[in-house]
Amino acid sequence: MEIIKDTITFMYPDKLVFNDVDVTINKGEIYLLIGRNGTGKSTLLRLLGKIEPYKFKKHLIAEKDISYMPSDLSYYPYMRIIDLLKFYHDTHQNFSLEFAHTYLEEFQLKPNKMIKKLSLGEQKILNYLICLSKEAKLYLIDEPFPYVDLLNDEIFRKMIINKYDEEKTFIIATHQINEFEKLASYCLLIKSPETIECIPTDEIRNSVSLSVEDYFKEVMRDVKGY
Amino acid sequence: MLKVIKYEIRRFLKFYLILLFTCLFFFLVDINRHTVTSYQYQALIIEFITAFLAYYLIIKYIRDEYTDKKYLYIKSSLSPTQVFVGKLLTIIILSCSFLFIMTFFYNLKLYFLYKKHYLDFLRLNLDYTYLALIGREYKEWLYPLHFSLGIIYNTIIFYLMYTIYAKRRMKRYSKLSSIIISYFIPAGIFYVSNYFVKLLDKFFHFLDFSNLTPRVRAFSLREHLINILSINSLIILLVSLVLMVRYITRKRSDNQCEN
Amino acid sequence: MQIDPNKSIFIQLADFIRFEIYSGKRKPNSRLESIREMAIILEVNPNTIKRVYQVLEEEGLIYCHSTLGYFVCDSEAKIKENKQKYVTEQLKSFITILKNCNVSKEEIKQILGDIHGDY
Repeated sequence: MEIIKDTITFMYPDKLVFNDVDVTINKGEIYLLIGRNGTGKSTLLRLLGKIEPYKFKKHLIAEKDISYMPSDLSYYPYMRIIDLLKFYHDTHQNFSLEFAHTYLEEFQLKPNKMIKKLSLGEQKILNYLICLSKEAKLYLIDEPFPYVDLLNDEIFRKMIINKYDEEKTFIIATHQINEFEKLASYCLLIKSPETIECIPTDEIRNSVSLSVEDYFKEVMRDVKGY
Repeated sequence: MLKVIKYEIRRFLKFYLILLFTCLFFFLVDINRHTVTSYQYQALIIEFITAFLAYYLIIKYIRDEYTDKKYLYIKSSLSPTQVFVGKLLTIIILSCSFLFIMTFFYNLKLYFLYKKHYLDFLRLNLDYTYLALIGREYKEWLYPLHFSLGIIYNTIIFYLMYTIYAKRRMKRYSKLSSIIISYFIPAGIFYVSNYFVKLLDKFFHFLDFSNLTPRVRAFSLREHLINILSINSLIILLVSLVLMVRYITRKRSDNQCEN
Repeated sequence: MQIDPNKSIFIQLADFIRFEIYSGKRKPNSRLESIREMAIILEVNPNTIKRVYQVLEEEGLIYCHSTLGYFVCDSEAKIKENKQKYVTEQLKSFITILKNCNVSKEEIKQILGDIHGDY
């Protein structure tokens, strides 16, 4: 079932990002959003999450049912991990503290640690944890993988599977395609401002017998203009 | 809204306490009754630091909008207006509490002087030091209230200007038009409030400041508003100048589209 | 199980479970992992696993209990029948290859004997 369907035209004052591209998002799927640097992956996520003001013709997800993970963690300098979790619990609806605490243990993060003293990877983990602790219908995740070690990547994937059910849609923008392609059911490929391809990942493997990563390299090598 | 205030106050608590205790320490230690000017300047410094605190907080909040901190309240169960009002109240609570605490201790210091060395106290010549309440009529004690009202007024106007500007920029209006609009709406508010004060003067005689001493009349609410406007216009001028400079010197990027 | 990212995960997974049932690793009437458990073990999309289970159910290899989850088919005859069908199909395609390469019966016997010795 389609939850978002529109033809998007969007520009920043000095740059045209999308020009009449069709975007369709189905319910209960895991999308992998890929594209080269500066093609508008984060912009598309922000548009879909209604963070950038944009009027969709069809957008069935309510504002409170969206969970957005920005590419950097935002926090106040005085905060310890537990303070930030409490902050989200207080100000956001459907934020599950239990979920956050169980996974804090799994990631071996101490709740009393100051956030500004965490390493980049730990901040990413915390950011990801906060995003998934919120009970939502549309999860928009911007670059979860850089700085994160391989074992924690594994937990990341497991968290998504644990969280997944047929009501929830995940869209993950990343450059580390191989980390995630097994999990994704669709691949949103931003080719140019005019085209966003939406291909089932198994179809790529079936028809050209390439992994999504290799397919991406193959396709984008020929596309000029960035 | 209370939640926002709680977290925002905690955010600035360290800075606030350091500022407060440093000021208190220096002001209380400095009790040489023979240096007349130090007493006069201290009141002035309290005013300055209060204004500085308010503007510092506003600038902090405006800066937040351009960093990742703007994502903290995104998708929260609080509406943007609640967050906005919460932040505004935080600024007002922090700066006004600073003003009142400092005024209290300043006057405590004056009170000891008043009791112990009355002649020195008279020699201080505190007529134009508005925060000094000792030895004044109770009516004149309103002044710090006026001052905090002024700060609140300033804060709201200044924050409002920024919000109007940001809102219009979000809707992709040009920078220049946004600046002009964000200037005109507060100006309109100013004239309305000025008129309102005139009406107050006319219909509520017990608020008429001409009954008070010349010292306070020289600083009636109406005059105060005019002061605020001049400060505001100065700030607006500076802000627009900065923005204009940025606008003029901005380079075209290579991938600028034709349409 | 190692998943090859260059091939369809759906086909790999279906084959994997079929082999386990045919080879007797999974006994008749034994419980299969739930969709979510399987997804976590293999780190693949739960939807894919659901589709695999549905296809296997249509083939009659597994059956779905409304509350307890998926189980391997209880009749060994059915499994055997399926296994034979599957092996025949594979052998048929194998034989076409041999025919295309024009390999004689003696050569096949020799090759088979060599390979068998290796095992």
